[in-house]
Amino acid sequence: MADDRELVRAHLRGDRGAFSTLVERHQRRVYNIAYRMLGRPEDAADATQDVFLACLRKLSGYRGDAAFTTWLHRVTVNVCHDALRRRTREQPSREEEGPEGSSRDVADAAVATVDVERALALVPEEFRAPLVLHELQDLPYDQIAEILGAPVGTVKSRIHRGRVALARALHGEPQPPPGPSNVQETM
Amino acid sequence: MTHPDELLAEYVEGALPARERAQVEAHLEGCPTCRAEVADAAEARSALRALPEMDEPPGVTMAVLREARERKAAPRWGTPLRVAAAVVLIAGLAGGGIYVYGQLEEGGDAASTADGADAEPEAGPEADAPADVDEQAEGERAAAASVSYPLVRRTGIDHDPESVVSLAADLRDEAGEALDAGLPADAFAFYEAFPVDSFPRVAREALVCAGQGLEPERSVVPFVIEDAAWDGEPAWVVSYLQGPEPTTPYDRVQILVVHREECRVLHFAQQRL
Repeated sequence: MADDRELVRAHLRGDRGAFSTLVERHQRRVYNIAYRMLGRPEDAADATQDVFLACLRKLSGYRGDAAFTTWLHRVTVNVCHDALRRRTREQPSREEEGPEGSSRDVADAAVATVDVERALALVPEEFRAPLVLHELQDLPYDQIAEILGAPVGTVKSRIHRGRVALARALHGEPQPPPGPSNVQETM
Repeated sequence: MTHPDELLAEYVEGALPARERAQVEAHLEGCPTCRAEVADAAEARSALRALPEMDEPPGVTMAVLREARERKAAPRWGTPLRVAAAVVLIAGLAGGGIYVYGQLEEGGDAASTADGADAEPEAGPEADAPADVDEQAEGERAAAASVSYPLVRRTGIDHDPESVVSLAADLRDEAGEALDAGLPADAFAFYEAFPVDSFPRVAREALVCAGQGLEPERSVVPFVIEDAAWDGEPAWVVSYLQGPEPTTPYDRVQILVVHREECRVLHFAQQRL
């Protein structure tokens, strides 16, 4: 099976099937990141489209010096950040509501999932992205650092702060003011 | 007190080496804040990891796959931006009278170049020089067989008008050497030796973006393509050799700087050979 870089090269050479193969291979991962970042299935679907459209436009700029998945994750995180910014601009109050479908008359396990999803939507965006990539996509710290363009120490620190923020949201506690409790960001 | 946030992330995962773990535990002894955070973080981690993977909705990427197919079907010249870039550039070239030969003309932005489109046409000194095309092309094909044009260089240099001036001088010298070494001496012979199909993929990308240099019927041939930058933005720095006619020897090198992603013309300059 052709690896991602070979598929990118084939696409740029004009191979019609190569881009479809890339999309099919990665759409589930992109959709899941977007879903956890944005909290709403319809937004995640839109974001998934946007990610691959951006890929289509920018693939010629992919230098092949980073793994394709790292590059794709970067595009995904950026698309999600844009969507969140748009949402805050257009509907400032909806951000607080968290994901839809939080009906309580479903099985306990599902209620727990909905609670976590709602809590995740309350985690500050700068912590949410590394948290989703690390806990839900199992990406190592150094790869997340490359995706986010941040030092590894910063990524570790944000993941810790993100977890704490998530727990507070689960407990119904107010979120602490933005920013970590101490300044160790660049270590 | 300084809290070891970075170490706490890995501590919660049980991933810290013994020495750092001991360090964290010593800190936790005396820090109720971090003890509470560690408990919270562990809870959050298991809650997150229990979230199910979602199935993507069927057909979620259908529209983008359609767009990909349509893009492949459409001619790559089709986008208004590229056509605009090409028109501006061609207008600039037609107004050759605005260039002062023998010294570099810094074109600045493409609009100012296009302003000169109604200037009188130029005639280079070599315009009427005879050229035995067939014989010349034949010899050059053999001689140039070991080098393939256009040359593509990934320099990453962040260019500015001044660096383009010195690049133009370097390329003039390099073109002289290349001609001595067998580079076909005019556009007609060049495209005989190096059909567009033979250009490296990255060269074709750059030339499409720059909006010219893929037309064997014209007097412009791509010489060196730099994958570089302009004012911090990714850019193709494409140099062309051009003569008055496809069958007359080149008399100038032109440098076109275009944004690598948006294909906007960022700078234009030329140098007489």
